[in-house]
Amino acid sequence: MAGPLEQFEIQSLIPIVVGGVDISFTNSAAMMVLASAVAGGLMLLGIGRGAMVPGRMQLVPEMLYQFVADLIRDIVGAEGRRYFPLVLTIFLFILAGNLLGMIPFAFTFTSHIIVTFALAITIFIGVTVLGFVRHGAHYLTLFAPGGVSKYMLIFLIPIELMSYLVRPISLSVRLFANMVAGHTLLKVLAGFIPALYVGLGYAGAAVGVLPLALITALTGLELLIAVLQAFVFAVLTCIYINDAVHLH
Amino acid sequence: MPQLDPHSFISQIFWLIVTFGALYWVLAKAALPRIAQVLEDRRRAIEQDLEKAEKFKTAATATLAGYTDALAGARRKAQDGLRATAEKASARAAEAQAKLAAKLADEVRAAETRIAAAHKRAEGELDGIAAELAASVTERLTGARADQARLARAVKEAAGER
Repeated sequence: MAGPLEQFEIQSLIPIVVGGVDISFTNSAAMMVLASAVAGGLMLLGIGRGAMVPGRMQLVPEMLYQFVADLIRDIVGAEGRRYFPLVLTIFLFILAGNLLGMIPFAFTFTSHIIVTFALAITIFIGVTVLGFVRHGAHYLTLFAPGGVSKYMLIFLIPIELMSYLVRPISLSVRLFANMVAGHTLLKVLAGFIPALYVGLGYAGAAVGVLPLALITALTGLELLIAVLQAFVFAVLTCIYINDAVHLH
Repeated sequence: MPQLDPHSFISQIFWLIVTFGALYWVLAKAALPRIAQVLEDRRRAIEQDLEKAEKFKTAATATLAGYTDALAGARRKAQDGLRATAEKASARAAEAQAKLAAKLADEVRAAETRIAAAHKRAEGELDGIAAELAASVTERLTGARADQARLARAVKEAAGER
C-alpha cells in the first residue's frame, strides 16, 4: 500500500545534468508541459479562425479571456491592461495544473511548495520593483496608511511591513497547502477501503462503501478548490499589482 | 514529505520557467491578440448592425408616414368625387322632376281650360234645351205653339234667378 504522501514523490523520467546541475525531466516537469500545452492549445485552437458567431469550442477561450480581463479591469482599472497576459497565464497555468492533477495517478505540480513559492516570489519581486519604478521612494508610504495618528504609526508601520513581506509566503503556502491537504485526504480515505477489507473481510468491504462515497463527494469539492485556488492566486496578483500601480 | 526534499528544486524551477514562459509567449504573442481581434470585430459588427437597424427603422417610419398621407389623400379625393357625382346626380334628378312637374301642370291647365270650355258650352246649350223643353211641354198641355222669343226670355230669367 502506497502511503498518502507518496503521490507527491518526484520521479526522474529523463535524467539531464548540465554543468553539474540536475535539471532532469521529471513527472512534475511532464505535468507542467501538459498543463501549458492544454492551456495554450485550448486558447489557440479554441479561437481558431475566430468565427463571428462562436461555437462551443470558441466560447472557452473567449469566456476565459473576458473573465480575467474583467477581473483586472475591476481591480486595477485601465492601467491593468499591460499585465493582462501575465495574470491570464498565471490563472490558466495554475488552473490547468490543479485540474489535471485531479486525474487519478496524475501528478499535481502545484502541490510542491517550491513551484508555488517560485511563482509567488517572482510576483512579489516584480510588483515591488514596479512600485518603486512608478513611485520611487514614495512607494514606502504604502506602509503608512493615511489618516492615522503618529503614535498609531509606530505600531502600524511594522504590521504593514510584515504583512507586505509575508505576501510571497502566504500566497504560495495557500495554494500549496490546499492542494496537499486535498490530495492527502483523498488518499487517506481511499486507504481505508483496503484496510477495512484486510481487517474485516467481506463485511469490511461492504462498509468500505462509506469512505468511497465520501471520496466521491470530496472529489467534487476538490474540483471546486482547484478552480477556486487558481482564481484566488490570480485575484491576489491583481491586488498586488493594483497596490503598486495606485499607491493609496 | 517529498516537497521538502531540495534535490528536485532546481529541476522544478527550471521546468517551471520553461513551461510558464512558453505558455506566456504563446498566449501573449498568438492567442490573446487573436481573441481580442475577434471580440473587437464582433463588438463593431453588432454596433454597425444596430446603427443600420436604426437607419432602416427611420426609413420605415418615413415610408409609413408617406403611405398614410397618400392613403388620406386618396380617401379625400374619393370622397370629393363621390360627393360631386352625388350632387350632379341629384341636380339632374331635380331638373327632370321640375320639367315633369311643369309638363304635368301645363297638361292640368289645358285640361281645366277644356273642361271650362265644355262647361260653358254645356251651360249655353242648357237654355236652348230648357226653352225647347218648355215649348214642347206647352204644346203638349195647351196644344198651342208658344212664342219662341218669350220662352227664351222666361228661361233666361229663371236661369238668372238660380
